[in-house]
Amino acid sequence: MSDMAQTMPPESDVVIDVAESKLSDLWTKEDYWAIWLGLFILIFGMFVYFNAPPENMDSKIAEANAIMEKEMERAPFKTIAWHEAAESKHKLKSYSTGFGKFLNVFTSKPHGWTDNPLQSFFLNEEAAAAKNAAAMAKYEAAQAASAGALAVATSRQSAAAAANFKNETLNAEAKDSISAWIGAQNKVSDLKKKVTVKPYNQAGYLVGLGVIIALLFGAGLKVMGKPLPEFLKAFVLVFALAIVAYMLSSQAAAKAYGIGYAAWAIAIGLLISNTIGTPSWIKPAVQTEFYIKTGLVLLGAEILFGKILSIGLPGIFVAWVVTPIVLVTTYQFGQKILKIESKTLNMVISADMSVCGVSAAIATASACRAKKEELTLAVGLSLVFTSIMMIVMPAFIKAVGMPEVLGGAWMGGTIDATGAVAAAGAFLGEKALYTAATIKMIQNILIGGIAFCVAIYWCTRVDCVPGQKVHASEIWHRFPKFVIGFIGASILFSTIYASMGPDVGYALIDQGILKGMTKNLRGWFFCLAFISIGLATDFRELKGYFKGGKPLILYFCGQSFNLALTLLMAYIMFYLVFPDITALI
Amino acid sequence: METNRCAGPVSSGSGSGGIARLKRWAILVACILATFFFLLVLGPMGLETETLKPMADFIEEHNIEANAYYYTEVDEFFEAERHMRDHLGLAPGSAD
Repeated sequence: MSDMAQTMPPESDVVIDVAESKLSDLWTKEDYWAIWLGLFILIFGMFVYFNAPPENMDSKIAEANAIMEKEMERAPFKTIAWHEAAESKHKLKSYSTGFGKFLNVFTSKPHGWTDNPLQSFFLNEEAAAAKNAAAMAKYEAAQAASAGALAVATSRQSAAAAANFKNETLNAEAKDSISAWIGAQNKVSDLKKKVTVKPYNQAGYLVGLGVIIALLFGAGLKVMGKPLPEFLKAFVLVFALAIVAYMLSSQAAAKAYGIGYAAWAIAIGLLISNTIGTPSWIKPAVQTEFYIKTGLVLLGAEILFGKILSIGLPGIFVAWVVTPIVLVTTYQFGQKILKIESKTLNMVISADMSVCGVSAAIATASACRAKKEELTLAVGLSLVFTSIMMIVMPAFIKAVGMPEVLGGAWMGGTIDATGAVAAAGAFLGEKALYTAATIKMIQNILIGGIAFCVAIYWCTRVDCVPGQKVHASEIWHRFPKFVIGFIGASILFSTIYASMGPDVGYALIDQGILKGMTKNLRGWFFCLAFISIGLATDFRELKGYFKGGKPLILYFCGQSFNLALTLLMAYIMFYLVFPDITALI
Repeated sequence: METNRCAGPVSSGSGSGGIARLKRWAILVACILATFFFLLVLGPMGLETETLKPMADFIEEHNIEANAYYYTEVDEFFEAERHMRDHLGLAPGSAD
């Protein structure tokens, strides 16, 4: 431990687990408490959502699958009946019924708004009616277009059926018109949300949610020997600031620029700490570590390994081969060429840039115990580059006439932020969206493996003097234990999902526990963590990390390499090795 | 990651504590006003420019969560996954 201390940052800056383990760690260490709290929430969520499936779920799925199978035997393309059956399955969502629905509303973030911040929390009958009326004309036009497209598709499909589906021209015409109808349907479904706005009062739920979160973390802190009343008092302000961060991120312009709650939360915290100063009475609720680790355990449940297979081998090559290569190369470039002093800063920026932005930065920062300023810097860089790439990449791809699938794969593999990938992909076209989103989803799932590998690497190679042999027991002592909860949740939910099958898994997990509850709570925990980071950061310290512009150079060079390698790999995989798959997208 | 430390204010204040405190509050209020100026005036103006307008309109019209951090927060990802599963199931090299 004394040797280790020479190579590590001062204890005041990082959390260092003492190199020994005791049974009492299970209830006295924050890492374990993050696991217990995460596990408690997941078990509660499973109890709620798995016990209240959508009405007649099994029979509806069986009926839809029977229709789809029959239609696939009947025609060489996916017919109207096939699509209707598929849609009926996708309407099965466990979070939209009963107590699951209540939990979703209860844990939700503030609503979107454009010019009146109060609409984040309240919307009366009149305002809701005005919103619905404003969007009604577009909705009705979209409905009419969809009905027209359905009529054309029905007629062309009948023509193809009359020729026993033997005429390739008629089949192709029917297939194209069905695709056009699906596109029109999607537009109707987007606009439907704008004409079915209901009045709401989120303020009461937010108070209740704050109480529940305070009690959860308060219980953990109490057992760990921290004073509960002081925490509860301070938590009121920290949670209020988290609400403000979410409110700002829900504003229309903030969304369009891709500025999420993490950036707002850090900015709010920094603003307070660097102007009027963070009052000392808030300190008990500035629990960055505890919030972030518990959020990561919940994030583990969203890392479902079965989804890796969604786009077949080309997607796996683009996301799972390019990403680790770029990560390792960028890290080595930072160490050997740029000679960045802080290995943790180097790693967090490399992961943030090569994997999937903020969520990857959070996971790796926790796994390698980076400083809060380093995570802040990575989030800031990601925000700037994401906003630029979200606009520039689709424009460039359109300008050079790049095929949609290639463009989508390129954007999915390189734009950091997940939401920005969806926006840029959808803007380019449907095929681009499907490819970009699937590649990014596979990258999202890579976070678990990356965080685990980084934690192991740090335990065995970084947090020790050169040449020191690290024994297995020592690795265990140093290993950030919350990672076990993170990976464990991922394995548990991946297994349950696989055993349920894609249809039930979609209804009960994707559109049940994850969408209805854990995704929301995870967001709140991360938001609280970023508020805490801002409140505990001196802006002048942050400036020091930017010395010589090295983080910017690292990000820029790494991203340039990422852009080149991803484009090359996407071209090889989607156009040279697996053109058959590309044709089907 | 880091332990919990709280940053102090920019200036310690000293003798002219009242003025220094007032200055710090003034900076805070100015920053809050600047934020709302960005969100309500400058930001929307920028989104009206030729470069940004098409993307901004598209995001608004399709309700895309462009500032989301993980795939479970964005509906388009589930749509994409379903599409891929439905269309690639029998393709050579696909994983299904």
